[in-house]
Order: sequence, then structure tokens, then C-alpha cells
Amino acid sequence: MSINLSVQSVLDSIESAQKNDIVPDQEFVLQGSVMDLSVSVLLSRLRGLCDNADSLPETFHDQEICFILKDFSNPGAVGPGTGGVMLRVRKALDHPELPWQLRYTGQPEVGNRPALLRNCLDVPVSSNICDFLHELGAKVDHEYVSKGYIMRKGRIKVTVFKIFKVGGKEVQEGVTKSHVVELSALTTRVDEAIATDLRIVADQLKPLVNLQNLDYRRL
Amino acid sequence: MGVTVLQTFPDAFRYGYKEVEKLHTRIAHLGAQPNGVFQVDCDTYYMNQQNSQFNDIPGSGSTVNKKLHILHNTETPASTYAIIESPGKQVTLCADLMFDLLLPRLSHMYTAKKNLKVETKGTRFTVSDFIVKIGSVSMSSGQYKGILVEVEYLACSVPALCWPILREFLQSFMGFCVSSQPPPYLQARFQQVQGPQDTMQQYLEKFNEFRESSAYPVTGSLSASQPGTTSTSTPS
Repeated sequence: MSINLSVQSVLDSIESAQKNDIVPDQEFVLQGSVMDLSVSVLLSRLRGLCDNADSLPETFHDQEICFILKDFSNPGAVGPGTGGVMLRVRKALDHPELPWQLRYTGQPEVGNRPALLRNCLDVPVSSNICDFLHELGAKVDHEYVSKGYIMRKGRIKVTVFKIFKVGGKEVQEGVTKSHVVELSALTTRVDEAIATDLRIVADQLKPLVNLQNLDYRRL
Repeated sequence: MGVTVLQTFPDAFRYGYKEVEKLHTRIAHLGAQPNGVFQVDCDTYYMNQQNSQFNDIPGSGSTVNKKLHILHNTETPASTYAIIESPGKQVTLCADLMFDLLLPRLSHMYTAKKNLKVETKGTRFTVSDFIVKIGSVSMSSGQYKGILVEVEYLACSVPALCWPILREFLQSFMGFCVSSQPPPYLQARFQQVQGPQDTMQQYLEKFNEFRESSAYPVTGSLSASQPGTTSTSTPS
């Protein structure tokens, strides 16, 4: 007894987007690090390279909580999916009005590419996401605060940030004496041209920082 | 965002579209203007069996299978609502539509039960400060389940302040199937500001009722009539 109404369901739009390969669910990444003392030099170089060179780089101050969703009742299990899925929740401490972000990053893809390629999904969510993930069965793995600068060069996102421990102390304690430098670009399944652009920018930053295709599975 | 009330319109003889048309006529007498179509759908994922022991209730020896409901509403087309349901607790997450693409990655923990997919679709009307959506509820198999009417009063966000006018409006075209008491969901949040997630939670409650209702025979189909044309269906 259904009625034939031509309603375009919400689901149709995401399915057709996926079918047409326009969902930006792949990410190219290059990472490196620079000592705290040299950050200002690197920032000057980046300001010259990136868009909007006349304005100061935008700052960010985020907290990231990493959850692992897996079958915790069976720690000895082997097989696909038993390692669990890592879901990262990120909130902007300096902009509490912004939606929280849920991020999934997959394993790095195998293959010889100029930059590391991995599957990723960014989903803006409501602020009860931590409660939701706990109910879903996920557990907190680790959390940290990152504070730094973000710049753009076309489609490339450039971040320079320092990682701090989470705590109620007035003076935040850095995890290391260096800053992380990351170049990343979101792309679709079929478009891999951006990886070369990423490599070109990375080469222009030498010798201040050596950005590499880091296979963090070996760490 | 105003206050939304969902009301099941009784259709004991399963006339389906005839009853929907009746409601369309009645609401037209109140000056309602048809304003497009709408759809709300709900998919349900179950926690995989091998993981459910993880949810043992201490001392009871029984296991709980958590349910993850994924809902979409054409009124908020860029959002996905994920509702996790476990005994005594329900958490509603409002997320971007990209959340749907995340679900296949959770397949090691949650699997969809395709035959449980339920949706309501129909015509959307506006009557001054009210939005009325008269929907026909069906399962993914096409099995007709009933009629669900959504009424939203745009001018107010707190149920306690507008229940009398909502009740009067609902009764004006649906008669006395509308109780004079607010629905339990609203009663529990009578003084709180309502948001889109409240609408979705009410939809989930109603969908669960429809899924569980097996009082009616499953046979019968309704001819596919478009709004505005005369229905030629006969009672099944």
C-alpha cells in the first residue's frame, strides 16, 4: 500500500556522490618536524609560499580524543576487523561554538607514491559525540591538545603545531621540544595529481624541514 | 525550529491512500497549501552477535544487543541522525551526511538489518504557522504499515507554552484520535526547547511501534495514485 511519490531521499544524494567519485575521502599526507627554536623561520618561509601572504597565519587550538572501536571482550581474536577502528574526535578549544569533528583515517595505501595516501572521512557532529561513542562500545585510547598555525596553498593544507599533554595545569606541558609540520590535501578516489604538488611544496621547504612519506605502521 | 508532534492516524481497515486523501481534503478546508513532498527513513544496525557478550548485564547473565538507528529527514537534507539505543539510555547524535559513509567501516561491530528499514513519505502542507506532513509508513519491502502525521508549530519552541494550540489544531482535522494529553515524549520534555533531534527521536519511537505492530494482515496493495488525482483503490 505504498504511495508513489517522487521524493528524492536524503540517502540518494550521498549514494550518487559516491558513485560519481566526488566524495573527498582520500588524503595525501607528508609529515615532518622542526625544533621549537626554528619555527619562526619556517613560518616566514611558509608565509612567502602560501596564499594570503599579506595576513598573519591563522591559529588553531584543538583538543583531540582518539577512540578505538573494537571487540574488547575478545582481546586475543585475530582476523579482519579485530584490530578495531580508530575514530578521532576533535574540538576547537578557541572556538567552542563550532561543531565537533569526527575523523576516521584508514591504513596507508600500499604503493610507491610521492606522498602517503590514506582513506579518511571527516564528519562534523554534535557535541555529544563522546557520549555516543562510549555507548557504541568505543574506548578512549589517548588524547592530546594541539596548538599552532594553519595555512593554505591552493588545495593544500599546511599545519605547523605543537602537541601538548591534556591537563588542568595553567602552563601546558609540551610532549616534545619540536613542532609537527604537516602538508595534506583531500582528494577523491580518482584524482591523484595533487600528490605531486604536495611533493613540490615539500621540496621548497628544504632544508628547513624534511617532509617525508612516513609509514607510521612501523613506528 | 518549533515544536513538533507526531500522531498516528488510525487506519484499521487499511484503506491507505483513501485515508490519506481524506486527511488532505480536511486540511485543505483549513486553508492548507501543499508545499512539496517529504521523506523520513530509518535503518537499523544491530551489534554483531559475537560482540554482544561485551554488553552483559552484570549479575543477570543475559546479554543486550545494542541497536544503532540511522535516520534521515528531507527537512534537514544535509544531516544524518544516529541514535544508539541500549536499555534505559538513548543517545542521539546529529551528524553531517558523511556519517553514512563511516558506517561500512563499523561493520565489524554493527550490521544492518535490511528488512527492518522503514520510511514515511507524503505531502508537506503549510497552514500559517503550522507545517503539516501527512505520511504513509511502509517497510523497505513495500509493506504498508499505517499513516503518520507530523505537525510542527513554528512560532514556539517549548511544548508547555503551545500544547493547547497544537492539540486544538490536531483535533481540528484528525478528530478525537488525538489525546488531550501531550504524547509521553513531549511530556517528559515539556519545559525544554525542542530541536530537530527531538523530531527524529519521536519518529524513531513511532517507527518502532509500527515495526512491532503485526496486528494487521500483511496482504494488500494500494494503487499508485498521485496527489490530486482520485484514488481508485479499494479496501484490501
